[in-house]
Amino acid sequence: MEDARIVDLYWARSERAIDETSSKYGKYCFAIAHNILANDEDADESVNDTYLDAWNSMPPHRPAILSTFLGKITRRISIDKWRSRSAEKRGGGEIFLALDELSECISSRNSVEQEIEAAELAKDINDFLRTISLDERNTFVGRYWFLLSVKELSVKTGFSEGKIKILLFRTRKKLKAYLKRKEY
Amino acid sequence: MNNQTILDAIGMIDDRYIVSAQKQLGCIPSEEVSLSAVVSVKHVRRRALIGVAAAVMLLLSSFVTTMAVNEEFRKMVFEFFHITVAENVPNGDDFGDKTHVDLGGGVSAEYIHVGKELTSSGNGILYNINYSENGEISGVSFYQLTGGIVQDIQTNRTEFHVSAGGTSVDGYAYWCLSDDRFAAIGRGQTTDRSKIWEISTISGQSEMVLLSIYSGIEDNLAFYAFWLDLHTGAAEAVFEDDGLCELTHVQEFQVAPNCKYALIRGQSDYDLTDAPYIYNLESGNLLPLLDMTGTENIDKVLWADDDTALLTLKKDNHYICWAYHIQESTMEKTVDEPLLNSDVDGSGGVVDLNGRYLLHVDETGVVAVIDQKDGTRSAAIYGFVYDKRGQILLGADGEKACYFVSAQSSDSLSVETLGVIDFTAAKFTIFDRSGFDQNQELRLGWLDKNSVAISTAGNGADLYVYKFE
Repeated sequence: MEDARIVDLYWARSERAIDETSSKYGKYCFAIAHNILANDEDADESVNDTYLDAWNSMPPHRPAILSTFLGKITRRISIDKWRSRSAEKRGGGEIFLALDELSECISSRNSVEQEIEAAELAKDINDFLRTISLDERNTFVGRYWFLLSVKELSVKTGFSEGKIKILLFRTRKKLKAYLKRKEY
Repeated sequence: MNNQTILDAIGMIDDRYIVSAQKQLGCIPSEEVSLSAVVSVKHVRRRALIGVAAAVMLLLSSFVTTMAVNEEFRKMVFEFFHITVAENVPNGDDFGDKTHVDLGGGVSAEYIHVGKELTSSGNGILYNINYSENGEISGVSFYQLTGGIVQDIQTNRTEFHVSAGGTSVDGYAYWCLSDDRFAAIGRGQTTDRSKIWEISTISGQSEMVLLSIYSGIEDNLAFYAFWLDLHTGAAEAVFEDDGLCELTHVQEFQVAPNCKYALIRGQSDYDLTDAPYIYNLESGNLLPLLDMTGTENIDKVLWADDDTALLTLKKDNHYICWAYHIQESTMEKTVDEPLLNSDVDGSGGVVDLNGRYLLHVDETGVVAVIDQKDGTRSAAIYGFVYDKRGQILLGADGEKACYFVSAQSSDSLSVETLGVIDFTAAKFTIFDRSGFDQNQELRLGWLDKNSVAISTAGNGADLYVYKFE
């Protein structure tokens, strides 16, 4: 079913909206959640919470690209779940490795205005992503948005794992320099 | 602002970047129904009222995982096989029909006429370097063994031009890639002879190599490094400033397998002692390691894995190893043992393999393996008695070592016993050789990760290849 028709079902408050969402995006959302939580049960839970969030979000939202709308919800829910359950220990999945890699891009000061800062930072990251090559951008998004492992990225892109590591390394270095110029 | 903020910010990036990545990476939603993920609206509403259950066991932390792995290492029992029938080494002048022999115990021998002297890179690629009259490399030829025949591999040449300390450095990297096996060679000096440079491979990389440039006194022994893209010839400086400003007289620059860190041995301005450092390739931070050991100098540094650097010292017939764990920022002495003295009967000690693992030989010759990452010792290898004439050659990946006993004459290695220790499979296989004295055995080395080769001089040079399954 087309995305626009699925969104219409949400607006019409039809229960079929969830069934159609699950049918088309269930595996996709599960994959995102599993990359973060590394656990089937937790990932299932995140996916179910995603459907609830989507039900509560539409209306008023009418996303043009339903996959990214749902993917962002799943990612946010899964990261929050990961944070609350593994604050002190490494909880597996790719998220800890990804955080570790990103730690050098930004100075680490705790801030109570984290949400506001994240929104501001998102704008600058969007501007940054525009300046880099397609391969660098897709690899960066694959690693830090989809939280795919280096091995998975290698399989999906056809690049060697070594090339993936170098692409990520260079992009993080460029991002760090970019954010430094922006006085982060 | 912290790295969690950046992860959240990345979550809010523009949809078109996510869609673009979806297309290239194949992360496009499937139309297939996933029964486990089908949930009715009523069920969703009930869960919203009740709340989400939160009874999931956390995965083991990486620290706990490491301990569990080394508990296994501690209990590891090496299987030892001494193949009973000795190899009857053929004369290189006439192999006859005997070019491939099964020696038993998972070991086979292959005898190959090569016709030229070749050097092994240790991963299945052989090479021969040609030099010009002034001693510079003028060309490299690469080969591989296929079906007992030495075959040419296409040699690629990448020209580079960089500037280091105000000096132009130009040269070529010679490289080949065949069936995922990669080798790269290059070294030279600047025309004014003020700097020397060399190419080295990076673990897991086949498109990029490291170009290291070492300066003389005129440039205060400065060190420069570049990532060299073999396909474009583009060179990107490793250090933000012109060279590594904090250290001089750099002796070693070893990049970790994950390309996040490098191990360096060099001298600082205020202390002319060679000392080890860890350099964070992303942040540019340089961490001195020597003070953390409590000793005055170190012989050697090497990577045990992505997160652990080993520092070793041999002094007064004693061997010490420290392990620096990067994630925990801790330094730990993991080995403190006498060195094995081959001249003294009835003495025990350790044998340095120049890698992560060490052999411990007790007074009776019984051997155990030590993992220097944390000092864990395996169970003894029963059935094997260490021959003090024995020598060890570590494989390229550090997971296997070749053990051989040489009845060394003045012009030949004369290998009378040959074997391989596999540290991860916990297996040690050796066999004896007879008739080796009819050939002049010049070199022994790893051909690839499973094979050891002895090269001989004589009628066109030959390779005696031993494969250990």
